[in-house]
Amino acid sequence: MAELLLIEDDPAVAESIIFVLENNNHRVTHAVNLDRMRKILEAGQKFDAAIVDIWLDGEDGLSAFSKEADHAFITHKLPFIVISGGAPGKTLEAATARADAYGAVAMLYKPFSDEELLSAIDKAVSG
Amino acid sequence: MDIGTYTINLWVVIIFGLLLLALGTAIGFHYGKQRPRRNLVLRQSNNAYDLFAVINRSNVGYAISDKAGHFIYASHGFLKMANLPPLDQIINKVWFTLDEASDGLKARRAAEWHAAMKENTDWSGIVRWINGPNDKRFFETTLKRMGPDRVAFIIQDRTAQIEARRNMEAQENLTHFVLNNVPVIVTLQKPDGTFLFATENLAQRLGISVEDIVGNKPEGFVPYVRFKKLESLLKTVVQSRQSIHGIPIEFTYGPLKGVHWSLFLSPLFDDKDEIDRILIVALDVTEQVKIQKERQAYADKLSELQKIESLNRFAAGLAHELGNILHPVGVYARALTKNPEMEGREQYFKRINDAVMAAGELLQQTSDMARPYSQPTGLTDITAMVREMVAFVNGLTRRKQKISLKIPEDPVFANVSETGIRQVLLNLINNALDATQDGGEIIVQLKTGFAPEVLPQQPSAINAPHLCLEVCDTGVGMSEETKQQIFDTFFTTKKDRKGTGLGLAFVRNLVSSWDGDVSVETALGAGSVFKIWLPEAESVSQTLSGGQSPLEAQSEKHYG
Repeated sequence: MAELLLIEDDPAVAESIIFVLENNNHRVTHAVNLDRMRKILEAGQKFDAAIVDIWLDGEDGLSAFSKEADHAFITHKLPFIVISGGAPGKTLEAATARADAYGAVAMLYKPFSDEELLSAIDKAVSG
Repeated sequence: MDIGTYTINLWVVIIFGLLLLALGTAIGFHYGKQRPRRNLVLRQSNNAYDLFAVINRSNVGYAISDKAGHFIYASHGFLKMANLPPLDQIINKVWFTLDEASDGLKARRAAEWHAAMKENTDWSGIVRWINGPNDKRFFETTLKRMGPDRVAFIIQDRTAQIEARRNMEAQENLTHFVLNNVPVIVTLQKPDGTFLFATENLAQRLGISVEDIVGNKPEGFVPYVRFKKLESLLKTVVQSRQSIHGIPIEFTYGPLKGVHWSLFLSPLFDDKDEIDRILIVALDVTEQVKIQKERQAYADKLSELQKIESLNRFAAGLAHELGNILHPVGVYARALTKNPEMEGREQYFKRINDAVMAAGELLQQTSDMARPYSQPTGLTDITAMVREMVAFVNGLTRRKQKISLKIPEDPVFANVSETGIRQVLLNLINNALDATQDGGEIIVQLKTGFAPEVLPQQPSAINAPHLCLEVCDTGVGMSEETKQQIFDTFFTTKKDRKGTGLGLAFVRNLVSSWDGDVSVETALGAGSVFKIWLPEAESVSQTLSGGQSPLEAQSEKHYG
């Protein structure tokens, strides 16, 4: 069992991810945005990994995310998985490479299978 | 064609100036050559004494020498013109050695003199006479053998004429030099096309000489090229008696293939006010045309890229939305497959159905976006439409906000699609309602009579007064960042599936298809004002009485 932090602004997607994670005996805390996430982390709650949904809007989507996330994930030594619905004008491989460069454990594109999500979490927790 | 019109005009002025100089020079020569020879008068005279008295007082001198050139006699006029001392001091001296000419010049004179004497012929020509370093004279001289050892000669001072001719020659050379070195071709042609003058660069371009051109019509020296356009331009100038400026002409074959000219034709009138010549200036604009074509190709490419970019963004946005909608469907379908008897399975089936319906709605709106709305369906009374829509929204009891209305009493018409404009207004009202959920007010306002210059983005294609339909709210407002993206597809500030991010993009598409514009003024916490700008149209009754279509009626009005 892992203690997980989900950052997802779409309630239906959040609900379905929580459904999978809880059915696999993980505990999930849900933040609707990066701002809420920062507050939860600063309050001192401890997690094994984070799952972050980002909209990779153009070249700077991931950069903007990384500025926000750097502080939180590095300060709190928190491994993170990026999930996304795509990036305009970029191949998925290029977006994945960039996510890698920012230190994401894995990058998942919706819709993804339950196994993909669970194995990414295993990797984050054990890594 | 708009290629440096200013520069072209400047060149034309310069060329015309030079050409007038050249014409003046040519006329000068003409008169010079027709000069009558007056010395014949001498032989016909019966009263030589009187005649010599007259000649002595005129600018003509005469003298007699022997064959070697020794003075025997010189008239008073001769001595005066040649700046010589009295006759007794120069008698028996060789006449052509008595000025201050260089030894070389004196030697050449001697050679010429002796040659004339040897051949026993009469001689006439110009003698350059040097009275001093700053006083050179030109004497038109005629030698006549009077006997075995007698030569009579008459001199006439032509200095002024010769200097004027030299100046004209210098002027003509300068004119030709300039005409042949500026990047323009200048020709002078008869109304029938016969060339009277052409700059060397035309001959060079054609690979022939100027002599081949002058005196010929174009078909005379480039027989395989048809100059139909030039012919018709000459005809137009002759008929209209007016200049023609900046006519583009392109050569598609022959020695000038691929060359673009900009032609200027100007009629020249003779003293009977008839057109006897046409001055043509051709500017080679091949480079400018090439650059313009490249620029156009680049602009086309850029617009193509922008279309692809916008399609790319749209596709990515759609993919993102569908990803979000479909992801839960996969999750619940897999769970139900694994465990069909799952507790609370009804709610998961419902989730799946909700997602399918949401995807369907998204696809519906996407196809609405793609539908061409470019043709407005007709004149719509905007005031009536606004009243009706606001009454409809206010009638919905579940809304706690009420909308107030500020619109003119009289109808205001615009050339739009009626369903389209309803959707536009409903979109803006819905946004305003969402923004004011926690309190605030909404006002829908219609103002008229704006000049096209006040349009927020680009000047409208239609020069008519514009109406402005405003939806103002005192709600949450938007940050500058949000404002920048508000018209982008799939951009939304609404979560929980309340917004697809297509509404305002749809509004913008629709309004611009009616030659209108949309703008927004907003600040965080200060509410938002969305403005729809549309060209006003005349009402139907006015249009019918005027016998014009609404668009024609508009374009004749001037505002601003």
